[in-house]
Amino acid sequence: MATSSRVENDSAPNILPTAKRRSRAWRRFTKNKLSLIGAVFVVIVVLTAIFAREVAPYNPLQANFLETYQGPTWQHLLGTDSLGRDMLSRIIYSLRNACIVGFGAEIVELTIGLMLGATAGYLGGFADTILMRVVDVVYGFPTFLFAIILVVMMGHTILAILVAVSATSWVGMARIVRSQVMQVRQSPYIESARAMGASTWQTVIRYVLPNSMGPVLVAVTFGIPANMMIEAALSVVGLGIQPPTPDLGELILVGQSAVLSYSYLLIWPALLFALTLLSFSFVGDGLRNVFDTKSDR
Amino acid sequence: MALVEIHNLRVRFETDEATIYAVNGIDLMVEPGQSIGIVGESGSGKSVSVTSIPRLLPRTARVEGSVYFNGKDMMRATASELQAIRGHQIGMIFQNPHAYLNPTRTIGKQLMEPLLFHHLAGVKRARAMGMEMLDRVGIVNPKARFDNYPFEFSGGMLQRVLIAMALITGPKLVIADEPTTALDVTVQAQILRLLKEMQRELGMSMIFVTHDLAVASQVSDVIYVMYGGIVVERLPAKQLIRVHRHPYLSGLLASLPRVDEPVGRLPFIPGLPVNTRQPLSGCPFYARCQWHLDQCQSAPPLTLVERDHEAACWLADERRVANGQPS
Amino acid sequence: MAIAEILSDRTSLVKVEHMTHEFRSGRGKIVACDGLNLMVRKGESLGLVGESGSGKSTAIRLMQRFMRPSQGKIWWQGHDVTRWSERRLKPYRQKMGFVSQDPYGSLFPNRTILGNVIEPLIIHGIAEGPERMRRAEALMDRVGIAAIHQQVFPHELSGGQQQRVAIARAMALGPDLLMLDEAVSSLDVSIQAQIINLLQDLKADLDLTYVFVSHNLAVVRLLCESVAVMYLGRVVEFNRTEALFATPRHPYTKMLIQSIPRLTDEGVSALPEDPGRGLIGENSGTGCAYAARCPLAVERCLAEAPGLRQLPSGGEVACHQAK
Repeated sequence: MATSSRVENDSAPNILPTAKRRSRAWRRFTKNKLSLIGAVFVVIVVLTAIFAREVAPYNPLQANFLETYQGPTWQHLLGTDSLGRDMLSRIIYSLRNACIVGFGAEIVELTIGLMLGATAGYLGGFADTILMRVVDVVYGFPTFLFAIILVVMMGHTILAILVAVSATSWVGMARIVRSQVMQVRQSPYIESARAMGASTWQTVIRYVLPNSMGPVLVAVTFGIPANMMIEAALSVVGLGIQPPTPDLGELILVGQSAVLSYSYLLIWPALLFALTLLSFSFVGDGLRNVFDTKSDR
Repeated sequence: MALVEIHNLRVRFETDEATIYAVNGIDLMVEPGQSIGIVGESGSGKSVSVTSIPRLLPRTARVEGSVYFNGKDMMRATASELQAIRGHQIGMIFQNPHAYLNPTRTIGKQLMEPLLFHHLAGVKRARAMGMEMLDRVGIVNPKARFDNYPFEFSGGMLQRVLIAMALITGPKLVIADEPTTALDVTVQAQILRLLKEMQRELGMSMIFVTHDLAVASQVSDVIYVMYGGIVVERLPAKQLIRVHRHPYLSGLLASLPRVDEPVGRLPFIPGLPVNTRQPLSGCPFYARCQWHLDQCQSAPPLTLVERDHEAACWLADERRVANGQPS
Repeated sequence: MAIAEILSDRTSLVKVEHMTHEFRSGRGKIVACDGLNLMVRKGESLGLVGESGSGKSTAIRLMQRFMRPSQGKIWWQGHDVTRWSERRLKPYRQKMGFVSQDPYGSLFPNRTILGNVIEPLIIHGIAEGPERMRRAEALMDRVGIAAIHQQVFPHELSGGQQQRVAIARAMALGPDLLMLDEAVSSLDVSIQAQIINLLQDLKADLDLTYVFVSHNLAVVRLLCESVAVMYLGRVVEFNRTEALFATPRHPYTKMLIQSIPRLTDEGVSALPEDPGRGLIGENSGTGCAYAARCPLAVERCLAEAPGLRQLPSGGEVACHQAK
């Protein structure tokens, strides 16, 4: 009997080999060349931030009063600032804060968002009502003002900034996760999971969350630059990481005040900041193409 | 002159991922007042073929060949000419009426639209015609139902409304694409009866697309069987059971579960549906056919095997297939 | 099956007593199942047929305890599981496989086909490493997908292949009972025949029992020993499969069988005559739900709902007029 079944289904045509299949997501991602360029740029930024010590030609804090306000030279590719500190090194080090806050706060947001969103979305009913009302309340907080208050209360440490940035931003994530989970929960395969005896916990972890991740990842790529924005803005109003530690927001602020005489002090950090934010957007667009599987079948 | 004449129609869809070869050269002819059934499984190209008559395929479609409707070359018709034909001379009915009706407008308003759009009647006259049409498709109390919204109707009732909408302009041709697939069998029977009656009464032609051989032969005069984007057999509906020649059709007929047969294993067509991502070469049924020859690597033409009966199989002449058995 | 027999039974795989289920919606209450009494014994596959809204899908979901019925009891192998927790049900779920209507949607999209087949083994912590693989391979061979690369994802398969994977997964824990919800309805005819044959083979070879929900009577006939015809939440006729098809008693069953467009050796069946309208009058709300469509309806049908009654010729029918 077994053989007869096999004959009925003799061949398995149009099945791609694994390697080719893996590349499908990649091909979708790179369909838009900007996504690829964005991804490369993001990777460079992150690596630079991690290996700042190795990459930076000078100590970013080292003042040199003989070389203040130098335009770009071979010694100082991006010039020096009012204290003669190397701009390139300062910019490279400033990426650290941006990345720590950008990614760190996003991890916090993702964790809270996943837990609350998944609970509300999967359980529904009363739990959903309660959790979503909490989300609504937090959503009502003015993000920036709240961040300012927190930083003032907790001091200007990187941890305080991280908490301040993520304190209200997780609500967006919780909403996205919830709506995804609610959608996935309706899928026939969740019923299959119940039929085979999977517990609620197993169902959520093994099937619901993995299949909800597409839009969540896209949201992450837009959340990271948003966090960087807030962090820089805090610096601009003087509540960020305190000088002399280099910070993009602070660099831009200083550069802006000297823009008429020494425009490069503004141009380089501002350009880098803009490009970084833009790159994340491009990566997000690429991911959206990958997860948009409507054309799949 | 035939109402619809299609010659060597080819349609392919080009997407980023692949090219789909949906229709690979079909000829089709509909006489005035005739009802034809197009039968095929998913991927056979049946829906794409008929959608190309009013030129309603999406932009990604590459269409070749010629399509004449009522003597008009549809491939060369301008957008405004096509608009004048669609919904006036060609009525269309689809599988899912919910998707084709606007949920925020009343049934009556939507029913009057084709008349008003094509300037066939004034509002007052259109309203009267709409009520009359609703009555004719079997909606009880059309006066009251006229101002109802789509959600207030059941699936079967909505399909009746869609039929009324397709027929209200008195089209020369109605294209019904799986109109009863989503319905229960008892409702299906009512809808089929209605369609058949209306078609006779109004003297229009009908193209009925379905995957169900029995349904097709209940409502059509001629049946086209499609597989892999070509017509593999064309025969009079009445003779479907007795004279079919193509091994695919034989296999399909044999594999239908029937209520009047002894219970047991069903005869089946081995293998998988045809892969439409490759250009067709030779007979599309080659890989699944138990009688295939080397010759079948080249495409068999649709040839006349007897009066009004064509088959695209190199073996159609020598072999008499009855219920899947060569005799 | 007589109600007394159902109530006294302690050995059936699944049975339901007076099972009623209501959904609350914006426009009021919808009674999906209304006092169902059904029993599935080993080797006695049950077909549930009816049109949309007949409550057959709700019934098969209740029988699997995906939800709790509003009223009535559900029994699995002699245990009243109506109120059991999911944890308590888990070991019993091993004995009950489920195949749904939508082959693509019911497979885990984030797992390969091999991953899908071994998933139940992982959930129940059965077998390890190579043993698990060996089992999965045997299952995949059994349902005819051994030739397919194990690492492909469900969306890369055709509908028929997907349904084979779903069947293999449902079989993974070695169930006695398979719950099949319109399991072949979405497949093309030529593929549908392959899957029906597979289900017939599995049933014969592995001593399986099916609960098969379908709107297609011809398919149910091939896979089930007895059939319950449902209309608006109630069973209107129950009989051995052969008897039901040979002599349908309930006017609804008759119409259902008649409405199937079918090909016979003479040609195609004619479109059924319009049965006309039944008795439209003041249905007190307690009358027969079918009266409005029924050609046999009399005054009594509007006043009093017929219960299932035993016929001398065997079988049961809920109709005042049926003989």
